[in-house]
Amino acid sequence: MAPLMEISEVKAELEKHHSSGFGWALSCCGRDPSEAEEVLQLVYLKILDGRARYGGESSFKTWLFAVIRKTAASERRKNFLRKLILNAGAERVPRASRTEDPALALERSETHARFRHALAQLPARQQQTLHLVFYEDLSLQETADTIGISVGAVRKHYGRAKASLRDLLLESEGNYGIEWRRQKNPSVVL
Amino acid sequence: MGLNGEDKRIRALFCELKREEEHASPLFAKTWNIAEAEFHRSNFGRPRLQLSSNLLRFATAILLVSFVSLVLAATVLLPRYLRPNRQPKHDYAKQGVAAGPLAASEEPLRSGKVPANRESGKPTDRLVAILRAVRVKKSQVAVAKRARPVNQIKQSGLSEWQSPTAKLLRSAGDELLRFVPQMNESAEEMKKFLTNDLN
Repeated sequence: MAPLMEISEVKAELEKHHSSGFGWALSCCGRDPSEAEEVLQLVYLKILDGRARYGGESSFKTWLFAVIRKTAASERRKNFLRKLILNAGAERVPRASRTEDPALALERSETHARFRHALAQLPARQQQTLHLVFYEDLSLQETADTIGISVGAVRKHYGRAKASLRDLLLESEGNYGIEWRRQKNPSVVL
Repeated sequence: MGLNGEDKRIRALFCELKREEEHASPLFAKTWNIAEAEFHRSNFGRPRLQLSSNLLRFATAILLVSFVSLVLAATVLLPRYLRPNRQPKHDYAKQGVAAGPLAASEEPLRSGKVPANRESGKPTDRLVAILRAVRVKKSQVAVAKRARPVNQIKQSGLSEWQSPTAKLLRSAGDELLRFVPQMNESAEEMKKFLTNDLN
């Protein structure tokens, strides 16, 4: 087992991977920036008080991403229970999707908004697999180590995720075409 | 080729997403400082936390001890308390044999008390006595059955032996075949009858 790193070394490594860690936290938190930031703070706190220690079994990035994933999962569980207790009996208002927000939709390009929407519709494991492979450029082995599943399972998720994403994008593009034509000519029946 | 094109397209979309999110990511120094402040705050608050954890351990130990004592009381002391006058096992057999199963079974019903061990799922004392009496009786009968043929053979001897199928050979006309008919027997009977009739 490799000797434990000094806190200054750990800090330097964390700084190096901070933005990618934030992106991964976003992926684990359903693209919610405030929740992702909170998760990242908790991860740093865990590292500071020794609850999470890098032992050198894998690369620092893989280890950091695994800690982020576990922390995000526990936070989501806690938030879910908190909401369940607080909103017991109260009428639940469905949370508006970020892609449905018109202000945000204006900021982004239509293609990008559709991509976000399609990505949000995928199961969490498939989202994470695509994120690690395409966003972080990790190999399937590294992805498996980060998520904590076998390479075979990662390969399966990867294939299914790509197929689902393609179908969803094609569907949304079709809908977008219909919407666009309706805006141009409201009398058209489609 | 189609798959590669698809991969490229997905990669391009993710690159765009990454670029956008990198702009939105918080500064490392800010996140780190918040975490560090939280760490120091929790370190200052640790003695209180330790105290509360010690209290929790103490409470857990007390709960554990009380639970164990309750279990002991329920399993060992309570049955003893509920059955103070329980007789030894060999007495049930004697009682059952001497008084018979009926007499043994009547006593608790008359008193109207429910035996303490009925609730615990064990057989009652009365039932034990009955079972023992029945067992003894059965063994006695079995011994008697085994002993009977030998005694009979010794007492009666071979001269009185009868075939078990002899009954099947008997019929209503067996009496006529047992003696030899006498000459003029029927004529003599007729004379008797006629003289009586004439008188």
